[in-house]
Amino acid sequence: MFFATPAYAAEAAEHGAEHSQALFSIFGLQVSSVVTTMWGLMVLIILFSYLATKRMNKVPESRLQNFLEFVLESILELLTPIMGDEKLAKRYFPLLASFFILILASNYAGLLPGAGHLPGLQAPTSTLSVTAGFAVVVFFATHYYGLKTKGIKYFKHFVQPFPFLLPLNIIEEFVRPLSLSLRLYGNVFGEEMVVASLFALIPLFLPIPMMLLGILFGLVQAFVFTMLATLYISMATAEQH
Amino acid sequence: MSGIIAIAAALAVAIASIGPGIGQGLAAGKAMESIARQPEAAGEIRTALILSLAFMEALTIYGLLIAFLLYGKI
Amino acid sequence: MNISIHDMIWAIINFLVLVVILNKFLYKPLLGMLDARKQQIQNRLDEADAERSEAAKMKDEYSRQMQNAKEEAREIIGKAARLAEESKSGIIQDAKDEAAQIMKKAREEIGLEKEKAKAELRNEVASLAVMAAGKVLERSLQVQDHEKMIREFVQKAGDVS
Repeated sequence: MFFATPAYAAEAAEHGAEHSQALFSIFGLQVSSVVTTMWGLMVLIILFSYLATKRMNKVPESRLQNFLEFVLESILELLTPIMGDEKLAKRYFPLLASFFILILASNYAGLLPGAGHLPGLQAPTSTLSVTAGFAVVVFFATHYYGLKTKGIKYFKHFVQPFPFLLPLNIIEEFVRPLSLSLRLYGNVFGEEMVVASLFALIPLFLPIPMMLLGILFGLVQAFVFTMLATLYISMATAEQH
Repeated sequence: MSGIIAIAAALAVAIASIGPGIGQGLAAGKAMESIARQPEAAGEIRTALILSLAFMEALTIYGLLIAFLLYGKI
Repeated sequence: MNISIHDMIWAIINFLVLVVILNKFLYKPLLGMLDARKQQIQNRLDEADAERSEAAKMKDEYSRQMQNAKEEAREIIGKAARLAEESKSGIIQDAKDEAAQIMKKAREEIGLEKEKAKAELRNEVASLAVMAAGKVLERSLQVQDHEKMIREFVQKAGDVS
């Protein structure tokens, strides 16, 4: 964006940094284009999983089932070493796998043509509001699972290793969702801004390498978010600390 | 005034990328050494590498966000 | 960098709804199926292993029985051969003994016959000689005087022959 025309860059910055315009509202909650994009992605994901599991077979016959099996098994393989145990990994699997799938889909939605310009189509993870929402879910899930598994003893980890570190520990707890949301938002939004700037400079072939990088970064960021959420939950629920 | 803000935005992202750049280089180098020494542990090393790279990357992202904030004020 | 509280709440709601629906439509059936498949494959593998070890055991058993049978057969053949050898040499020995005995008996008989023939011949020769001598000498010689002398002569001649 540093070499784009200021007018365009300002517009792009406004698009991402400011929350997008409300299209309509349900129960007093305004629905913006990121929300509609999320709905679209959710419908696609649920449709695919429904089609894949409708006629499920122990001998995988459909490519869709094969693909989803591959995705889920890969996610499970990633979670298992951090959780330390496949049973534990399976307990928190729905939450963490949903993070991965939804964030990945959201990141790739930003690569669609017209994303961020057409009304109702904008990468959800390119706004801080959505990533902050995800981070809030991680924050509450971490403490919920910690309390659920350890009971009142869970609060002991705030005064460990030394009681005078209590403020630092509390700050750390709040910095985690902040860094989680800012990292995801910054990466996706920054990548989109660079693509937009390159597009403004030479619209033909120049943005393609950056978009290819965007495919890689989208995957890595979804991976990192899921990994960190897993790490936090695993640390909160671990028996020995 | 806007010129100074523009320079500040540029400096924010530029300086914020120096440290993580060095750190990520060191981490990736060490990870590659480890993979070369123990190819059977490549999967675990890669996971740990990506996690640590993400932590370092966050620092640059903070600088980038500051740059965006400043940019909006031009 | 404002945060829209509406977007944030929508994000949380959407995410939780997605978790619930995917849990129902994707994770539970698919992971359950994966587990079932893993279990089934494991069972099949276990069964195959058990069957293979069973088969190996049976094969061992059979080969051991085979070995035993072979050894037994060899033993039986060996015993029979030894027995045959023994009986063969016994028969040959018997035959040899019998032959020797027959031979000996024959020889004895021959000797006896010879002796008898000799004695007969001697008597015959003696009487013939006396007769011949009597005929030749007739008067000049008294039978009683010279019979003793002639008998002695014939005796000597019989000894020489």
